[in-house]
Amino acid sequence: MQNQQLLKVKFKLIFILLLLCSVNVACSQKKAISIRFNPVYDSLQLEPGKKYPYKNDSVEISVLKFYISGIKFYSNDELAGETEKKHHLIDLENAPSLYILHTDEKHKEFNRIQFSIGVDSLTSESGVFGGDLDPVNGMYWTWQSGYINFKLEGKSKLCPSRKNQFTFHIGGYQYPYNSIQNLNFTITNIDKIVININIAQLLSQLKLTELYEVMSPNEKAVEMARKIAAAFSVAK
Amino acid sequence: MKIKITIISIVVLVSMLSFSVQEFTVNWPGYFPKPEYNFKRNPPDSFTIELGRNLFYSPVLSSNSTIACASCHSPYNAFSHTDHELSHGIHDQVGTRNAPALFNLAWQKKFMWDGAINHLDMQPLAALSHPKEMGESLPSVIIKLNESAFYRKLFYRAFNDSIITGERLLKALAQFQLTLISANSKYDQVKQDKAIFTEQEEKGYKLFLKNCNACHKEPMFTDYSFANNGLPVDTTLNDFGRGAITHKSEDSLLFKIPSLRNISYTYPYMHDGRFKKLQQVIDHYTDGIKPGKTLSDKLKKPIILSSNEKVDIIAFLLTLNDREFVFNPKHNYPGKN
Repeated sequence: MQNQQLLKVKFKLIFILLLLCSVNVACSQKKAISIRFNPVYDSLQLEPGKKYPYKNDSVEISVLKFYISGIKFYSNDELAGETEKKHHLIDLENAPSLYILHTDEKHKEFNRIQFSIGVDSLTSESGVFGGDLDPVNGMYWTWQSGYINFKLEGKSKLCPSRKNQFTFHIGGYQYPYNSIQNLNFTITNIDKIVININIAQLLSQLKLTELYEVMSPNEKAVEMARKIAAAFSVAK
Repeated sequence: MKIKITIISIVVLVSMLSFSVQEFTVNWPGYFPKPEYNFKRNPPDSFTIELGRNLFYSPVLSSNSTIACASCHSPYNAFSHTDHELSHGIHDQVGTRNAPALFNLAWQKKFMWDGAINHLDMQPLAALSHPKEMGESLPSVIIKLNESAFYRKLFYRAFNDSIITGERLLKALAQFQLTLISANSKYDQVKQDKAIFTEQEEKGYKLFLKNCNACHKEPMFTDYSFANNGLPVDTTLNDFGRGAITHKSEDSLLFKIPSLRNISYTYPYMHDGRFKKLQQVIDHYTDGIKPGKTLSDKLKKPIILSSNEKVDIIAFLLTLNDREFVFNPKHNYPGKN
């Protein structure tokens, strides 16, 4: 009997300890930083399947998916932190994926954010990964190794293709067709970081009457990757 | 008392779990080079290997459940497709290349005849998705496997979790393929002082070292690089090999240098299976080389061999057959569990 009572006391103690620990975690002030990736069509919010004006005609987007990798925060030139998860798959159709949360452990201030559009070559050559990098997400080429860094699909009557569709699967991790893009932005308000991806700006630089399919690592993909990068900006 | 029993049962359960997965050591001889595959990222264990083996032999990976990996990579042919110049997939569609043999894959840097695939983990995706091979998609295979109690059980045993993902599927297939080590041919036994070459084999070995070893480098019998070996282009296929992948003119007509191990089991030879007999292969190197811009430097100087010397080389090449590997029951169809 005595033994049993002792055991009960022990369990109570452990329970209290656990409780204290959890309270401790909840109370420690960690700063949560949220980065929102915001697909827009000029001043409009981009929605899948909706028609937008395009060069005296219209355009609609069915798929917009891309990888954002290696998010780092800088205070001037000093590294102030980086997200624990390295690769994020952003998908227009999956609203939670548009937000990346980072809990800043060190309470550091920063004024600059750096990230890449796409998946780096080391990861591309290291075999299979799970989660956002799982090939089941449809962002990995099967006939030739490599991730699709940026996927944009839709239709416009201007496309002389079957069903007026355009398909851009932009990737390539090896020289000379490396399409990963590194971006750097000054951040003025760290409590509200919104990165716009302006699809209108991207499409305005393309001639959909001539170029409506890019689906392998080549010169066109590299050129398009640069135009994609130019469509990213910090929302004011 | 109840608490004690609960604690004891938890301890017993946890210990059962931790002992259920058995680590598996992949062994190879000391004279093999360092493998390319990073085993730390996908450490082999017996249950994952067994899962990979079941997947390798299962037609569930193809769109109409008719073609398995083993359909074109048969264990009795050192996992190649004997008698088929070009391999065929779903609906009897014929592809454009000869199915390569599968063994010692941990040492291979790039996969496919043109090196399009950069990692063993990712290789199955190519065959799985090719419209003329398995004509499937990874998401669809995952759905089919999740509906199968048999596979959910195997995934649970391998990963302590019955959720089937692309990552787990590919890691399991890679683990099974990593166990396909061929290192017990007569050549290996001679290397390990367990056998000796006949006089003819010894002569053939010396001729091999002089004429063939520059590309088919021992002990793997390939240097895992790509080369134009002077084959005239088959105009019914117009296959330009690695050039179509890298878009570089210097890579035009380059194909993977295959290992010569298990050579008797893996005919027909070359990327398009154009040669049925070893004799034809040797004759190609002495008399059939087609000069061209990208022809391998190692083949620019003619290879001169008498007919007796050719016979000697073939005698040596036959010592690269690994019967134990080909008939190893651990590599075979797993049967119903």
